[in-house]
Amino acid sequence: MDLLKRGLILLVFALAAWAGPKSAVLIDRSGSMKPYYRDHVVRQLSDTLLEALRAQTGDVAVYAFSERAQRVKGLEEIEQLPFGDSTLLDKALDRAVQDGVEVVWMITDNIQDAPGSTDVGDTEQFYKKLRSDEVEKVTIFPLRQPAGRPGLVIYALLKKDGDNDLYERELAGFHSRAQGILRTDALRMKPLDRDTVGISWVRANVNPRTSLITYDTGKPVREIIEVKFKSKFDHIEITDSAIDVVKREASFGKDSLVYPEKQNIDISPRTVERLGPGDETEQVYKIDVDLGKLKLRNDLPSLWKAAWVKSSEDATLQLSFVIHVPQKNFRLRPKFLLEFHAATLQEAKDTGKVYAVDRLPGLMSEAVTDVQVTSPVVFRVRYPSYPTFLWLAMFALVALVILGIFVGVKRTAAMAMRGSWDVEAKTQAGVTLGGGVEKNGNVMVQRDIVGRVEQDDFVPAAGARIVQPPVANVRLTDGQEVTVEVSRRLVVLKFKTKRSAAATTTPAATIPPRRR
Amino acid sequence: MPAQQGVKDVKPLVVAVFTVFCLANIFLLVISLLIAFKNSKFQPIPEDVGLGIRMLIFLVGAGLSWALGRWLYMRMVEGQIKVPESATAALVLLFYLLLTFAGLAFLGGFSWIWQTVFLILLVLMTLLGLSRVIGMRSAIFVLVLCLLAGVVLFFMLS
Repeated sequence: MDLLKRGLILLVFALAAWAGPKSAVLIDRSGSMKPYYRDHVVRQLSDTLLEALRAQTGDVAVYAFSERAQRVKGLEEIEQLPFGDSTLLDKALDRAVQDGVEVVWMITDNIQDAPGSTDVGDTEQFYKKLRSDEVEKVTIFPLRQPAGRPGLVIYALLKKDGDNDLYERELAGFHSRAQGILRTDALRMKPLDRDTVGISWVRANVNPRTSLITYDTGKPVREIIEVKFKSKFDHIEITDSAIDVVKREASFGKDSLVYPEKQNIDISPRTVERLGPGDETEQVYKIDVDLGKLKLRNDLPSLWKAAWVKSSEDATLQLSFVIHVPQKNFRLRPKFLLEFHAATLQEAKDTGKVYAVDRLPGLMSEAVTDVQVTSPVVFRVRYPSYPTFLWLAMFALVALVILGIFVGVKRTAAMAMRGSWDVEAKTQAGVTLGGGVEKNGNVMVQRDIVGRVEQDDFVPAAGARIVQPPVANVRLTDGQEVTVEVSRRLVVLKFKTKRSAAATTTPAATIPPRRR
Repeated sequence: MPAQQGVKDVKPLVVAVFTVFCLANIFLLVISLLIAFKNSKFQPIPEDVGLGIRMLIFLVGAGLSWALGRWLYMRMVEGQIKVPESATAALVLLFYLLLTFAGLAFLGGFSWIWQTVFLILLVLMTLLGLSRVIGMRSAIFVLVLCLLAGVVLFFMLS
C-alpha cells in the first residue's frame, strides 16, 4: 500500500515537472540592450522580477530573445550569449506559449538595433498579437532610466485561458516589490472593454445591493436613477464617446418568481465627454427604467413558493450600457506622459523616458472599442397574496371532498343495510298512507309493520296477509303492487327501486311502531 | 358545599391562564412597538416568510384557541360556574389566545395599531365578562401587573 502511495506521489511530481512552469521571463538580448547589461540594469531588474514571481509560483522559466528565443537556466547564461541584431517580440512570445507558459513577462527596450529606428514591422505584429484573442490580459510597466539611455518596458501578458489568479498575484507581487526600487507604474492595457468602467450611484430608490422601497406585483414600476460613470483605469482617459443601451429580454433572471411586463431603459445624455482615469464623470446621467407592471410567474412552483416560502424577493435587473470609444479617444493622462513618455529616441536617451509611450492606447485598441458597463439593480418586490388564498381554498376543497367521500361512503353503507327498495302505501280508494322501508328491511305503513323486504322479496309480517297477488311471498319488481291485509284493513303497497342515495323514508316511517 | 368547593378549584386555573395569555399579548405588543418606534430588528418569525406560513400559524392558533376555550368552558361548568358566565369567560380567554397567535403571525411595523385596539377591547371584555368568574380585584391586579411588565420590558429592550 505504501509503495502504491509513494508511486502515486512520484507520478504527480513527475507530471508536474513534465507540465513545466506556468510563468516565464523573456529577456531581450538584442544589441540595443548592451548598455543595460553593462550597467547591471538587466540583472537588477531580472532579479527583482524573478524574486517576485518565484514568491508566487516557485518555478519560473527564463528565456533570452533577439531574432529567436531560447530557454536558459538564468541570467548568467544569457550574459554568455552573443547580442542579436533585432528584437522579434512576437516570435519570442510564440515560443514561450508553445512551451506551455501561461503568464509571460518580457523585459525589452522595444527598439531594434539599427540605430535610430524602431522595429516597426515586428512591433506592429507584436501589438496585433496582443490585441488578438490569443492574449487575454496585457499590463505594461514603463521603466524610467537615468539620463543617458532610453527607458525600458516590461510587459506582463496572460495568454488565452491562462491562470488569471496567478497573473494577478504575480502582478501585485512585482508591483509591490518594484515600488521604491524602480521608477515604474502599472499600465493595464487589456482588456480595455471589460471591467474598466463602472457605475457610481448618485440618487436612486434602488442600487446594486438593496432597494429602499418595496414594489408590489401588479403595479407599474418606473424609476429615474441618477448615476455617474466611474473609470477603473489607472492612467487612461476616455473622451467624446457615445453611449448605447444594451437591449435585453424583460426578465429578472431565471430564479426570480416575478417578471417585468417590459424593459424600457434609456439614458440621458448619450455622450461621455470626459472620463479621467480613476475619476467619475462630472456629468450626472439619468437612467429611465420603465418595467411596466411586475407579474408573478403563473407556474405551480412559483405559486407555491410565493405562498409558502417567501413573501418578497430582491429581484435583480442588469443595467447594461456600451460606451463606443474611438481609438483616438483613449488617451494616457498628462501626468503619466510627463513622467514616462519621450516623443523621440533622442529625447528618450536624454531623459531616460520610454520612447512613444503615448502610442500605446492606439496600438492596443481597435478602431472603436465597445466598453461594456454593467451594473445590477435590486428591486425588492412583494408577492401578491392570492397564491396563499388559492392554496388555502384548494386545501379546503380537498378537505371538503374527503369529507364528502366519507359521508357518502357512510350513507351508502347505511342504504345497503336497508336494501334498495322504497314503498308507497295507499288505501284501496287511493288515499296515500305514506310508508317506507326501514334500515332493517321492515316495511312500515303508518305505525304498522306490514312485512319486510328480504333482498328482492316481500314477506308479510305476523298478523298480515298478502291478498293480491295470492302468494305467500312476492318477488318484487319496479312498480310492483301488493295488496296486504293488516289490522283488518287493506293496504296497497307500491314498491319502487331507489333511484338515488338521497331517497329517505316518509315521516310515517319514523313514527315508532304501534304496540300490537 | 361540594359545589362551592368546585368553584374555588377552577378559579386559580382561569386566573393563571388569563395571566399567561395577557402577558403573551403584552410581550408581542412591546415587540411590535419596538419594531415600529425603536427600529428593532427582532422578529419572532423572519420578515419575508411566506404569507401562507403566517396564515397557517394563525389558523392553527385559531384551532388551538377554540379547543382550549372549550376545555376551559367545560372545566368552569364542571366547577359549578353558571353556563353564561363560563361561556363569556371562555370566549374572552379564547380571544386572548387568538390575538396572541394573530400577533405572532402578522407581527410587523404597523401591527402595534391593531394589536393595541384589540387588546383594549379585550381588557374591556375582561372587566365586563371575565371578572365575573375571577373577580374584579383579580382581573385588575393581573392587568396592572401585565402592563407594568410590558413597560419594564419596553425600556429594557429599547
